[in-house]
Amino acid sequence: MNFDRYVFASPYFGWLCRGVVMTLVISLLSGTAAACVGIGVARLRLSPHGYLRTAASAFVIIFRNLPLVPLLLFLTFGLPGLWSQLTGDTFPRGFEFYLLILGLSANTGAYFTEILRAGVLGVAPQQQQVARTMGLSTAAIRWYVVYPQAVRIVAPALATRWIHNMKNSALALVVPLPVGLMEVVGQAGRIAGETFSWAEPLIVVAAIHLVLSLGTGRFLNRWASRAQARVEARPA
Amino acid sequence: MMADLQHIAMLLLLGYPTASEMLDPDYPVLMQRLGGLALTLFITVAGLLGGFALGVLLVACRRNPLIDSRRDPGERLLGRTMQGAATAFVEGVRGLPVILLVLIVFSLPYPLSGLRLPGVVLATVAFGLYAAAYLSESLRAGLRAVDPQLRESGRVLGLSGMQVFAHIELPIIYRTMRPDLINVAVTVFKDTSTLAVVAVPELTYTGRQMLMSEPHNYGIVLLVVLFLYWVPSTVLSAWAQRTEQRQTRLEAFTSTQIGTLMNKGERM
Repeated sequence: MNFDRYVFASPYFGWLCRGVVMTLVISLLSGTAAACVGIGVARLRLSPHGYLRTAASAFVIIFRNLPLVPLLLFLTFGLPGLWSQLTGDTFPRGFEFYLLILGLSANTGAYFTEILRAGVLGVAPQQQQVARTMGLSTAAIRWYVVYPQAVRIVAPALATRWIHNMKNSALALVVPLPVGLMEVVGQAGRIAGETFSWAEPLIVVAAIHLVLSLGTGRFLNRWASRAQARVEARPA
Repeated sequence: MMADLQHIAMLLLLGYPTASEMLDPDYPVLMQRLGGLALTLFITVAGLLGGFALGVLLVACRRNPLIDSRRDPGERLLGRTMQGAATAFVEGVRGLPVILLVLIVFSLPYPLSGLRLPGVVLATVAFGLYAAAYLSESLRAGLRAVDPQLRESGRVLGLSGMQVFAHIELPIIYRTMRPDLINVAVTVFKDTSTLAVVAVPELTYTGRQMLMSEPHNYGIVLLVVLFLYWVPSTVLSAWAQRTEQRQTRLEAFTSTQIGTLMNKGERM
């Protein structure tokens, strides 16, 4: 074990710092996209139209049960191949990054959908009637009455899923990204490729990931328990 | 046609030969080990079984009887150390991405001990550790669902300690954990796909290598791979959901029944 030589040396430490930034960027981008997907599809799942509900539950059932590694491999190797076979064009270089975000957010979005649907169903339907009587528009009811409470009801589940999504960003390792966009596990692989030593960078990266997920977990759990306290405090 | 059959056999049963196997001149043409979906399932089941055993051990450490203010300080310190170590392990494994856990298990033993273990063994160890962390959490929830008064009631009725455990407590623990147990199994099954990065010839690795070696199959192979993962996980998660709903209904029913009985008792 020689951490001074393989981790805290001139180019390698910079690579890892770059990796930490990219881990955060990937998890933020895919988490935000997943939240948008979740809100949208959850709304479809509760729509009065049967075919929209079917489409939304099909999305959930498909992406919740697909493992991410083959999904990302399909998106970044299979899909560009099929594309070039069909059209004769190649995917633009660097497109893999967007496909990675797409895959991660489809997976997390499917989980978010289910969680948010449960949250919306947890808000008493009478509240919507009251809000309607008070003259709020449908959109206003949704955004000012239902969603804030729904999010609070399912806050712990959302927090858990957000952290899962952050851990999933490590799967960017299987995607061919330019070195500047690699996240921290990918950077560890890059160091190992140059030094033929996996152990040291991996131990440091494991510590980084633990700090990231436990730290984010601590932060989100505090938010979730505050939200839960507000749920319990509301009048029945 | 023959080529298709060979591909199907690779995906389901044989797996794609790894680089070291291809370099080996004595390597049999017809592969003599499991691969593809069969290997994925084998690692899943072996990992879950090992993980369950380790999970029971972890729960025993976290709830051990040595942490008791009536014990002497030495024993209490030992108990606290065991509890701390088990908690740290569970939190650590749950805080790491699976792919990182797999990489660590595959790359640490050799530089530390000079031991070269076969990939399947390391894969089983990695997923055993992973499953243990998650199973110990659901096992703890299952144990918490047991009302301590049940044991006393059972003993009063003349059952032995073992009988109380086997006939009263165990069914409650099992029923409480069952949905979680199935969900952990699905998660492990899906997450074994990360083994593709360490060249274990399981389903995802096989699919990827087939794609690389025959680019005209682009995409289709991986769609088949995705389908092979999707079917079992969908069936199992649907089962988990159904047992969970039944469990919720049962609990609601039992609590109302007990409530009615108690009200009657009060009136008498």
